[in-house]
Amino acid sequence: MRVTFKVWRENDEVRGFRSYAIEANEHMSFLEALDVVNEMIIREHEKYPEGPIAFDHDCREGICGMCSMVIDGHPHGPRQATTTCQLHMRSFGDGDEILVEPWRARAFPVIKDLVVDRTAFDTIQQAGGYVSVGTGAAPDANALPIGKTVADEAFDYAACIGCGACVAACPNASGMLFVGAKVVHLAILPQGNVERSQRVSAMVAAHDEAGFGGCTNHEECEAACPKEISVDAIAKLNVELMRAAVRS
Amino acid sequence: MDLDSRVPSGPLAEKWDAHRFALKLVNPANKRGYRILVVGSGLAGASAAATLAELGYEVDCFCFQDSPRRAHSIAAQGGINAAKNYQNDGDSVFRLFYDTVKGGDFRSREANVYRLAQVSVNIIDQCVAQGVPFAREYGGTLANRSFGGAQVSRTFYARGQTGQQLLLGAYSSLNRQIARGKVHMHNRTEMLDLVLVDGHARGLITRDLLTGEIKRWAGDAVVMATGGYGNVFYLSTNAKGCNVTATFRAFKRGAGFANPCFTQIHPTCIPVSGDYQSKLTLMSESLRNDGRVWVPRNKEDVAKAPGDIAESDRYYYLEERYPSFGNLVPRDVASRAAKKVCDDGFGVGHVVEGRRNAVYLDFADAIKRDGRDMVADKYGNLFDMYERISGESPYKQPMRIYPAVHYTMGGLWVDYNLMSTIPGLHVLGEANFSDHGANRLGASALMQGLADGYFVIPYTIGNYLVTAHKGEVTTDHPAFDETQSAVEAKQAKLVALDGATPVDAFHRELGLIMWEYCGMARTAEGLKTALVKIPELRERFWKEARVHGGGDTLNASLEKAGRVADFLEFAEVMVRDALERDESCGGHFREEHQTPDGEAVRHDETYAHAAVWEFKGEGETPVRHTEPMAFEHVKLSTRSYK
Amino acid sequence: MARSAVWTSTIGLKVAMAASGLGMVGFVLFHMAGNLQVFAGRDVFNAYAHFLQSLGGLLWIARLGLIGMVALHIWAATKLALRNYAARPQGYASLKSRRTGVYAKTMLYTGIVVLAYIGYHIAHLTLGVAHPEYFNALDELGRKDVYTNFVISFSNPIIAGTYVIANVALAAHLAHATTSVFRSLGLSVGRFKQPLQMVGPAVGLIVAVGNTSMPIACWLGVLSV
Repeated sequence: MRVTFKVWRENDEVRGFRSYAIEANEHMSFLEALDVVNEMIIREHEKYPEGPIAFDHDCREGICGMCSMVIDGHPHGPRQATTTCQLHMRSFGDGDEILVEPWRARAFPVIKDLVVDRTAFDTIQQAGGYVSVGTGAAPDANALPIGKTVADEAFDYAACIGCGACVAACPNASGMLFVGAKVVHLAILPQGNVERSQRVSAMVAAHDEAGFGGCTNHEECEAACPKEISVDAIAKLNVELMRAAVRS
Repeated sequence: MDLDSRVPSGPLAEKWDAHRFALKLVNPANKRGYRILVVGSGLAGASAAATLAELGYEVDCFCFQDSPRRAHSIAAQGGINAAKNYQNDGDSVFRLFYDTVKGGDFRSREANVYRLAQVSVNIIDQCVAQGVPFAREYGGTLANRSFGGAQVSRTFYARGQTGQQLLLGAYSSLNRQIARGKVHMHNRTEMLDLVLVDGHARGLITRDLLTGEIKRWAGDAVVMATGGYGNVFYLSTNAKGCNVTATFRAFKRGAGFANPCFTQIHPTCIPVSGDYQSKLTLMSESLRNDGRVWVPRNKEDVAKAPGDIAESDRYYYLEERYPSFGNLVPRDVASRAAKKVCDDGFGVGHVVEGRRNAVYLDFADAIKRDGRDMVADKYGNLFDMYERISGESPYKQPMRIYPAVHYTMGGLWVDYNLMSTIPGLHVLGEANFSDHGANRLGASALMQGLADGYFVIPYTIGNYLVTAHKGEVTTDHPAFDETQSAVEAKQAKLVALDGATPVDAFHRELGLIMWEYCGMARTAEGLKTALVKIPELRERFWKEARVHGGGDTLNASLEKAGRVADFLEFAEVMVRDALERDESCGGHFREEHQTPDGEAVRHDETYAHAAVWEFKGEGETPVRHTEPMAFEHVKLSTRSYK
Repeated sequence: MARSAVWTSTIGLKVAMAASGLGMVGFVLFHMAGNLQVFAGRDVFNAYAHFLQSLGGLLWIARLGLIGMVALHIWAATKLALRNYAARPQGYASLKSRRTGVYAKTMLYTGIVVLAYIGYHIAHLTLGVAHPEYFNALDELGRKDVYTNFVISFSNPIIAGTYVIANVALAAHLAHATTSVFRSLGLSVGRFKQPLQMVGPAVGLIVAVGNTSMPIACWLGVLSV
């Protein structure tokens, strides 16, 4: 199949879209197709002075959360519940032109081409996304029974891979789904219950400080999330914060 | 080379306790005066950095990804072993120890493995306290499953994302210490060399991957938790960024590299679909609990749809050959069996380079027995992942799987204190060689990474600092100038590569050589061929490769070039090790050493040791040393899974 | 975060919008129910208007409350909108929505239309500034003849059309807003999510039908003096 990638390039040489046509195979992953583009750029470097496309990727099995591209108007591309690395070319048709852009948000400045800086997410986690327990201080694991449904629900929120697709998809570039997922994961477990008030306050403050927008309940985040984390996280996050405000 | 394991004397079960008492402690008030440099932020690195900071040390932690949470531990699916005996099925610390030593085919150090089994129980407690959402029973207690051929249920898991949840737990502890200002995190920073002062590891040279800035860091000790070298095969289940650079450059500075030929091939991965393939995806081993492995009995059926092959024409080769373990034989056995049936022409699936390299993993019986819902509950996310990648649904037709490189048991040699042959350089997790011998059991990698980071290094590093450490060193020391110049020269050489061939092409070619001659089955002749081909390829690399762009910016082709250059040298050490180890054991299978029905034959009298390679200079052949492995508590025996 | 900071955080502002919005939704529905009495004829309608005006102080408390809610709603909306606008300085060449409906997308615009409409509506029927001709007429019982003023105003197609357009905008605003309120207040989760998601569109439909039925009835002559 013949496809053309129309890719956002941003470096010393160029700032704007550039097109690259290649012969792809439907069993290729999207990133493998981009590898083919980059190999072509290197082999024919005189024709492409802008150099190979910089893009973040690592595990290529849908869990590291490194990939950060909006493909044809959707973060991680047209297939739902799928990261860019697990998107395959069979999702596209012969002759397609595929638009590829980086995440766009003030809190995620573009570093180069499709690579963005997601330090803001780490900063939010550092504000309180943990249980303050030192190594060695833990009681026996079965001393604290936790119902299966609670454990399963906590897992659903803990499954966040920190890719930032929620921010990328949000019309307001809000990181509320990311914040909510961690806050709710820890708040519903007894281990995280002790610090829940400080945690939610600190994490929301860090979120706002980083320059993300606010939630207007469009639910684009849930639809874009490769791990299908529910927007219930945001509803529960709001309650957590109000609870903290009333109790503090 | 000093290969004293420093295993304490005394009864096995009391060694670690006695050793902890014997270790010198650092006065709490003095701890903040020590700076520890931790390279890597996976399970071992993050847990070590967080715990050392909790104890009061100043910690600098480095990772090449954009966040410590991306380390490849995140991708581990199946679970983590612990000798909790929560299922009351006869598990114990000794049984976990025994299984691990035996599973490792008698090439690991007993005392280390016993300690690993001992602290395994603390790991689960620690992770639960952090809020890791392990699977649970309705009554609220933790759930367990049997994994990778173990006959007790000792594996704790969080759906198919156990590694992710454990890593995020360690990441959260790390974050807490970053927020306290005790850990200084350096993302997108790659270690390029180790700085030795008076023979001790006292610093690092790093490259900032965004600006290209080469920086120097001085510390009182170095902890490397930089993962394995599986990407020497190009195609593996490792993340694309996994590399040997940190450990290999430490090797070149004098750290012994132990057992590099011990590589694990995981039996259940999604097969290669074409020559553009950039990585292989693992399907959790837990799938073998319910899936049945088969190929057609007749060669003329290999191209047929699996549904069109009658039950009597299906060859369930694992069940037939290993009646007592069946589909749950250890990884190395299952992998070789798959290779054998495919080599014999019974493979199925896509034809790649003239061969069909895949076998079926069939869930039809499990779905019939337990119902689709129950199967979906256990394996739903794995089935979805398979469907996304292959475009086929495992609910409707069998999965196609084939072995792929997954884990490397070899690594930098360490003593009982996890210190390498370079004083002050400590090595944790997959990067060291210690605990898995010649073959790692399922769900043991997460256990080892966290054991090293949470419960071993925090004690042993103090002893080094009190007893062997030699006073303050700053980055003004001439050793830093020297090492930095060497790094800069190497970088300049890489930037100057202006051929026309992308670096990946060489990496791919190296991978083919390694897979062919140093993969699942090895022969002396093949290994000798590899020793000719690798230097040829390396020579071509330095002539024909192209690094596009300069060194002062984010430049993936430069990063890759550095890593591939190291792989091209390291591969030779690995092949040499495979050639010298003239026996079959664990992940290392020499075709010359097998029983008539294809089982591995060990030669304990000659090879019951760790082979430790010492660097002797550029262009020189490295020298092989040995650390004998004594087995006092687990009797040397032939593994049998019949 | 200090307690005061909570209320100016993105979530605090959103909760403020939800709470004030919920109050206003209640008012809109109550106000509509009262006005629908116009279909019961002059006597009932004028009696209702007379009752409201006789409330005196209570009426002013309600009015001040409403003004407060509007002010809070607009203040929070402005702060959030500016923040959200700033959160993405460079847009996409293409960003497609999977969930966002037309109501959610047009909240800011329908909100501005509603605000303008409130001003006009108060000038028209509360202050009598916009169309003063019939504002002070009395009925035979000496009460203010609100019914005549109402019916004659809306027989003017321009006035009726203005109201119809404004109320469609109001309905669209409420269709997203009312659902959103439950999400913002954390009620719309789990098994309550589906039913509460229907509340917004339902409120929008009721308001659209109810509030436009009156000017349309007058304009078509169904209601006459």
